[in-house]
Amino acid sequence: MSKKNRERRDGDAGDDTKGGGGSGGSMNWLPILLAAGALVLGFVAWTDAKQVKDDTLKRLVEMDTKVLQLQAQVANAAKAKPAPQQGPDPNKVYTVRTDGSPTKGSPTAPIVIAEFSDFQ
Amino acid sequence: MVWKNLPLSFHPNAMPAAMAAMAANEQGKFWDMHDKIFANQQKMSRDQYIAYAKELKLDVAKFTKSLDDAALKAHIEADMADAGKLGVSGTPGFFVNGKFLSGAKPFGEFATAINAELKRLNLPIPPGAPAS
Repeated sequence: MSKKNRERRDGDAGDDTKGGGGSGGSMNWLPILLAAGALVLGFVAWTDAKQVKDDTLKRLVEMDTKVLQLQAQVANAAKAKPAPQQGPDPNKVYTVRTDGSPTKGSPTAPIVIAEFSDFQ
Repeated sequence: MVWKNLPLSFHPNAMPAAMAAMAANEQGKFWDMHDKIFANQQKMSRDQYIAYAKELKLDVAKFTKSLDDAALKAHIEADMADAGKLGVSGTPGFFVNGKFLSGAKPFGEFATAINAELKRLNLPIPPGAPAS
């Protein structure tokens, strides 16, 4: 073998030891950079996802509160406006004017039925 | 049994029929006229009422005049005002000794109301009368 070769091989061996297993001494920052980059991206993705989750939870809590408020409002509205009375109160005793009206049966009958009616 | 007129505004034949019935009432034949009108509700007309008056042997001239009598109209309108004050808006509406029964209820409900009144007045329920 030539001296040169031997020197080169030595040199190579020497380089190998120095380089620590990388393809070349000038590129050994790349894996670290890539790893760091991946970490950063992962972190960003994680924070994004967390943000979305937090926002969604916050929205759900808001909606829950809103639903409870609406339920209370509906209950109040129902209480405040009772159904309007349809016609005379069936539990009340009314006085019906009967003078001049056509009658049937005994004028002294204990039961008087007054009928409000229409011919059509 | 007392008849109170409540011709509804959306029944165009109601008021003339009420006038005819009240005109018959003047001659003591209210319920006969009432029955005739109800038996033929598809044939409600002035001429028809005059025909009934003839059938019922009323004084037709007097009857016909009464069909437009202001005093009769006033009586009917007073009945309508009474209904308004009492809160009756639909027909028929009944008051059994002042207690309101709405609409054409089944007879049993009337029996119940009547029997309750008889009981309240300490009167016997007639034998054979329907139970409440």
